Amino acid sequence: VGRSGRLGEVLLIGLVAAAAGTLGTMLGLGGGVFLVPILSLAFGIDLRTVIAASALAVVANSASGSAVYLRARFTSVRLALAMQVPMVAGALAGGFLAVSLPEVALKGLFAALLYYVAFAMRRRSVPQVAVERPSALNDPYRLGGRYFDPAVDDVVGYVPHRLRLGLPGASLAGIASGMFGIGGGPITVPLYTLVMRVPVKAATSTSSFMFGLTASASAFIYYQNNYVDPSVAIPAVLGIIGGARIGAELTMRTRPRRLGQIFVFVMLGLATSMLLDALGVY
Amino acid sequence: MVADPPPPYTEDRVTTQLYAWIARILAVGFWLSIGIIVVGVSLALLSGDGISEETLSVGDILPAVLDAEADGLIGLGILLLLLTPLSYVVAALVIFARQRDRLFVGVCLMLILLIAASIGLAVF
Repeated sequence: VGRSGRLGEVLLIGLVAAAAGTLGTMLGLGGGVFLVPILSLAFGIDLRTVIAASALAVVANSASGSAVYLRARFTSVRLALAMQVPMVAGALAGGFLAVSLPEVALKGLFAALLYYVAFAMRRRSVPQVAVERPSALNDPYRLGGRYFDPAVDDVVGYVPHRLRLGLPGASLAGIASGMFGIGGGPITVPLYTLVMRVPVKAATSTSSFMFGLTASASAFIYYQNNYVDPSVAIPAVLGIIGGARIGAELTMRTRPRRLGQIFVFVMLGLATSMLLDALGVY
Repeated sequence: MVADPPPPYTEDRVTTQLYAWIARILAVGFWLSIGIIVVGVSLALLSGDGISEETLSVGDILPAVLDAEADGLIGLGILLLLLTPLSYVVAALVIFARQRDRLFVGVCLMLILLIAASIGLAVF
């Protein structure tokens, strides 16, 4: 497959990645869940090459998007570091699984992930979390945080609960991230908000901060196994980060509340195409 | 973009430093690696070879960079991007060590070990 001569295809991959990054950011999913199935199905690029490209895009996106949330203190660095231990360990396992499983199995598992994401997108009611002031008593490891939330014009404090569920849960998110080259938001965000009772702004910012280190772990494995193809990875990285900026702007200006419901169908379509592809029907 | 909030509460100097260092490392790592990748891609396109479909092995990157080869710059940019998150863990380790925060020194060491394993074990 000589892609190097075909500048047109490289540009097209960049455009698809930009669209995936825009949409993924607006839906709070990241771009990988759209980018990976589209590049695999429509462009016929080897799934692991696409996953490696997506993992690189996740690292870049996390690095470029985190600064503003760190400055606003939406991100809890200590919580992120603690959760990254099981998450990165999971990503290592996921990366090794991805390079050793047959491609058909990987496609089938990816289809299952997309069905799950579609299901999780259906209900997007934001859980309300009771405001808690972190102190030495209720937060001995200082994992919680306090930040000024412009939406409520007040300081929001929180303390993560149920670490015994949260930490093992992060390893599952890591496996999914390492195996499929995605950030893991469809797993970590509900884990933070529903299980650990972290408010949404802190949950999404701390999650996207964690994805960089996590995705770098599996990206090293893909790199060493020669799955990083610059003619796919570079347009994917540049497209996703450009798209994420556009998506962030659009989210500021519009209220993409119903967007999730609309794109449930897109996600179901991608999941089914991926499943049929795995079964050899597509 | 989120507007810089007014300082909502006081935080200790170390926390301020931790957040500032990490934000700086992420920004520098991101722009440096993207910049090098863009230069590499420009070289590849100008030379008429197009963007390569394979990355150089880690050991071949430096000689290729010294020869101003497009593949070398692209490989270097990708590796710098991948090493950026690890760099902030190292910075956090230094800050926690100065604080004698044993738990988080341990957390950072475990993360460094895991990334080292992903770099090392992947070779086999």
